[in-house]
Amino acid sequence: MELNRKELELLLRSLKPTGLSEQTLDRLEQAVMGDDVLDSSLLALESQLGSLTPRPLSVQTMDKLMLTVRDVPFALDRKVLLFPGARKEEEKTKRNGSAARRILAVAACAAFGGLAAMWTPVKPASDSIAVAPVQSILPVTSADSLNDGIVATSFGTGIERAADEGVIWTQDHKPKRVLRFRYQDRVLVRDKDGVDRMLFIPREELFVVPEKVD
Amino acid sequence: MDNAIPMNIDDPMSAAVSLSPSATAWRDWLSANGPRLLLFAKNQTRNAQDAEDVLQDALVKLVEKLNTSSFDGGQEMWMAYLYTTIRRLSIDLGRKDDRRRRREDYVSDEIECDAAQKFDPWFESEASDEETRSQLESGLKDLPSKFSEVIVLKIWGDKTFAEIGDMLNISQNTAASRYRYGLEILKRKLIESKCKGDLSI
Repeated sequence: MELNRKELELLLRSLKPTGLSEQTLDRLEQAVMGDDVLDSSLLALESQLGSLTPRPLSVQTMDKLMLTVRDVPFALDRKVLLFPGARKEEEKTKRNGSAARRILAVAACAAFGGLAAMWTPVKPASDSIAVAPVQSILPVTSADSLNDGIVATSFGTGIERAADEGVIWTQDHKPKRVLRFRYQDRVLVRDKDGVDRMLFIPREELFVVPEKVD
Repeated sequence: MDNAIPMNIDDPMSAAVSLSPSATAWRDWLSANGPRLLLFAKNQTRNAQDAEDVLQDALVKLVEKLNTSSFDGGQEMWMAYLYTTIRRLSIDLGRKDDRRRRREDYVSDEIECDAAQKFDPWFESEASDEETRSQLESGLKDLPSKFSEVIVLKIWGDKTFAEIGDMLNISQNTAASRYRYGLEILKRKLIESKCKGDLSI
């Protein structure tokens, strides 16, 4: 039998979609009415399920998860953070050691900064101030020629003041200690008349070092 | 409830080492919320080992966000984020597993996996009602995950249908319908078990 397009259309039109099941009708009705109330048998089942307690985390799982969050400050709310880091009894002694190492590290940085200062260009004399005598003056290997025939013959530097500015929290939630060092750079120069003059150049450096805070 | 930090002083694990306030708060938070998250992870992955991996990965992602200050919201949003991340990671893991299984002969793997699932309890066992717990748990494990995930989030996650809808990317009504339908299927299973004499309730 050959069907033309119209006959096929009529045949398709004659097909009736299956009706909604009772369940689907219920579901749609509940959605329309916004009625989420369960019948008593489902309520009983819900309460039975609610009485089951999920198994606690095993010690191994808890340890693994604690490793993950060990260094993360716990946020009590958006403004209050609890400080991270473990606090064990024996850690006190370790901490003394690490504090000593930190001071050494900062001192090394400071010394390095001082050495680096030898190679910094000399600022104009108007910046200089008169202070305590030079602690260390290093001879210049090749005298630098400055303006108007002034020649720098030696450089020196010394720490005038070191201050602990306390702990700050960086934007990535890490505690850092701020240390402020004030240096006095000294440059011995000889002018075109052969007169030696000492220039004093103050300089300040801030060191931000990682800190453990409990 | 999610943001509550119960102080678990009697916890033997916390007694072993004196922890910083932050570490103590994390441990308490994980003790309170970890079991619910792990239950959801088990529901999603159907494998205890994968569930633990997925839970840890989700926590790592949360930590990364906290460390870079890119987490949107406060502590009260952690659970929702972790549930959503666990679900997403489980789906990714499922896809990877499918690819792996297509490449390998996985028959013995499947048998092991089924056995592991059977003997991996999701809930605490109380001797007095062990039979009921076992039936409810196995009924829940047998439910299609689209129903069981809503039930898990509603009952043990304490989430509203609106919150569940947000997490699962479905409407609030669909979440409510899936919950009801899931409970109905579970009820039928329990009635069948009762008729067969498997259950004495």
